Amino acid sequence: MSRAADDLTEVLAVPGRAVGFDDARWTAMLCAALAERLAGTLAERLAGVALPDTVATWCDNALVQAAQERRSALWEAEMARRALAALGVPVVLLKGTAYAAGGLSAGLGRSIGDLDILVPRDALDAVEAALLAAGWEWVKPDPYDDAYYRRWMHELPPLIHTSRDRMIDVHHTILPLTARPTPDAALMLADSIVLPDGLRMLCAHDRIVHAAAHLFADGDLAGGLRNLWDIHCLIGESGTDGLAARAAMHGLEPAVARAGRLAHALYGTVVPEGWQRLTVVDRLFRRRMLAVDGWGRDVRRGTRLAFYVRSHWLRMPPAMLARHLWTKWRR
Amino acid sequence: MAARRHIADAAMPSVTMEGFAVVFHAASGATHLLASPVPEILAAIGPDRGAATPDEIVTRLRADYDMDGEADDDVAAVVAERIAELTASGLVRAA
Amino acid sequence: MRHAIGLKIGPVAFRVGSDWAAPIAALQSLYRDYPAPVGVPDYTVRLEAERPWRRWVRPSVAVRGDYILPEALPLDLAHGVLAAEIGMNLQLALGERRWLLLHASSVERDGRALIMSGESGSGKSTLAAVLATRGWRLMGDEFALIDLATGAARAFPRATSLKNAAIDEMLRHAPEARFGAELTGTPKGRLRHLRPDATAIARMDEPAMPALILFPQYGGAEAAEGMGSAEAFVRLTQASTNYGPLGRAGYDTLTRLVTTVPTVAVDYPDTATAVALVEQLWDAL
Repeated sequence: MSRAADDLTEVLAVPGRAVGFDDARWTAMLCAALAERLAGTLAERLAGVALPDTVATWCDNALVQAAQERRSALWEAEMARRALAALGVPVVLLKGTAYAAGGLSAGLGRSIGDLDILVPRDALDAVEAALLAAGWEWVKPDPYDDAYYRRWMHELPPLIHTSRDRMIDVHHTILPLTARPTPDAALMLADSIVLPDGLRMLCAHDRIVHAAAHLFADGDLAGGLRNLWDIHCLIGESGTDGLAARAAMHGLEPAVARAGRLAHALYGTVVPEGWQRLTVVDRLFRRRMLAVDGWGRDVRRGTRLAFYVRSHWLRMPPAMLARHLWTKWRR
Repeated sequence: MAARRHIADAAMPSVTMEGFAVVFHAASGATHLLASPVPEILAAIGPDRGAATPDEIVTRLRADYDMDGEADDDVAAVVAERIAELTASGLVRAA
Repeated sequence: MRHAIGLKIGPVAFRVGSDWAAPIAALQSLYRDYPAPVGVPDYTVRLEAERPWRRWVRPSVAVRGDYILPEALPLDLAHGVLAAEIGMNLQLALGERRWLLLHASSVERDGRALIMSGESGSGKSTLAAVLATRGWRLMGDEFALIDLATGAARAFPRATSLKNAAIDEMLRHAPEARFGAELTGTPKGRLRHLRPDATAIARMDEPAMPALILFPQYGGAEAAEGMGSAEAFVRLTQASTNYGPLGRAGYDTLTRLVTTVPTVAVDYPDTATAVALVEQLWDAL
């Protein structure tokens, strides 16, 4: 394992551990943080720690960047709110934008990318029309992808705003309809929390369930350390009472339990005793997550391919996967 | 159909350069170069003035500026077009 | 990474790592007179083999680092020093938030800065290099850094990148000892780096208040025309890689710059004419 990756997780958990690092050790950890999109988060955590001048400079720069990403993300959410206000449907913010809008600790210094929202499935057509009317357009005009998306995916095909050049992903549930676990989207919507401007975010437990589902089922774990930090913050803020039961209602108890175990192992999250030991498979996930080195490179290419295939399998039953890959390859 | 009311976002810092108002919109972080009558329209529906329809904006503009010789309908049409542009760029929202 | 070097150019410290020795050796030579950086670098650049075997077979340098352009094409190993320059430019352009960055050359005289903004081909780099041989201090050939609090220009005097005819032009003004190796067949043609003189390096931490902004354009009949602040503002936002991300600070800094410093659009048929025009405009301030 690279020391930079270990230093990163240990210092995020307990910032005081960085005191006494020499320049080379700082350099490697900061570089790894940037590669994992945790620069702003790390800079926030290091506030209040006595830092060498050049590290303080790096942190200041990282905080300005994070503030800019936050502003852009919240503005994108506001413009989506304006476009959809007249429809009267609940619009639930997901992931980083939700953490920022909701004033959650997971939002501090967080690097935020595209806007993700969750709306009722029967409102999808109206939402699509309203966004197109307000200046968004489709990213990929490919008929096969489009048909696949609409029938099986958990979101509209990606939309991008013409003048702001930012993407929005409109979800009607949090996992593809072809995936094995089938979360209860209606329940998530029903229990969502209203924010001051009228937008919504998921309730505390659902936020953790969504983050865990996203972490394991929705990708090849690229960005795993950041997603796991989100879960660490979310659990820290709302605790785990009733979490496993809520996760079970969505068929996602294994994912949430794994997230809890890994967060405890990497970040020292306070979790119930049953989540305080890693399984053999957990260790593979941890290996994959800690695959960044002190130059910002991904050093586990072999593991990455295995995870990519696995993540596709999780979203599609094998026969369908074969057909999808065949059609993709033929084009 | 009744016209919609619009209101401008919070006060924006503005620097005048050669007759243009160069304004900074904090919420979006965007900078806009605005030519007359856009700055005047924005001022007429600022948070301190409250939301207004195009016709109401015309009334406020007439009270603030000398606009003899401009027919109400013409001015209202121009105002409506500018409001549409301002809404698309986010400086103004329906209220 | 196997080979690495630390560089400090003005206020910016880079760590450049490479899978091959040659680009690092070239950087070591170009930057031999610069003080060594201390502490933690601001940015990391990686010159990497695209695939493991490409380290040796048709070696091809992928430019990566803290900030990466996914669509960037790799370069020949023979052009490794250019790859390093591109890598450093990229980190600064995409990551910098401490200063307003302008795509411009800059020179200093009597504590005041002349800023020359323009695209590739405008001649801004050559002009700055020539003025530096005529009593001006070179502050930079590619990026001007404007302090967000004070509006002062900071120097970023990297090795000047000269292309094609500009190389021959500068050989007439500066000793060959200050030139790096010539690269041929680069995406921009012939390329040679010119090391800044000792004064530029020794004084690279001295800021200077901008006193004149020029938009030079090489190739036309001699002409100089004052530019209005609104036009200057718009053109400088286009010449900046980080105006937008800086938000209010960028807005305040740039509006202050264009409303307090005169801007002139200059056309010139040759360097001698340009230099004379510059001296004339500067004296008239």
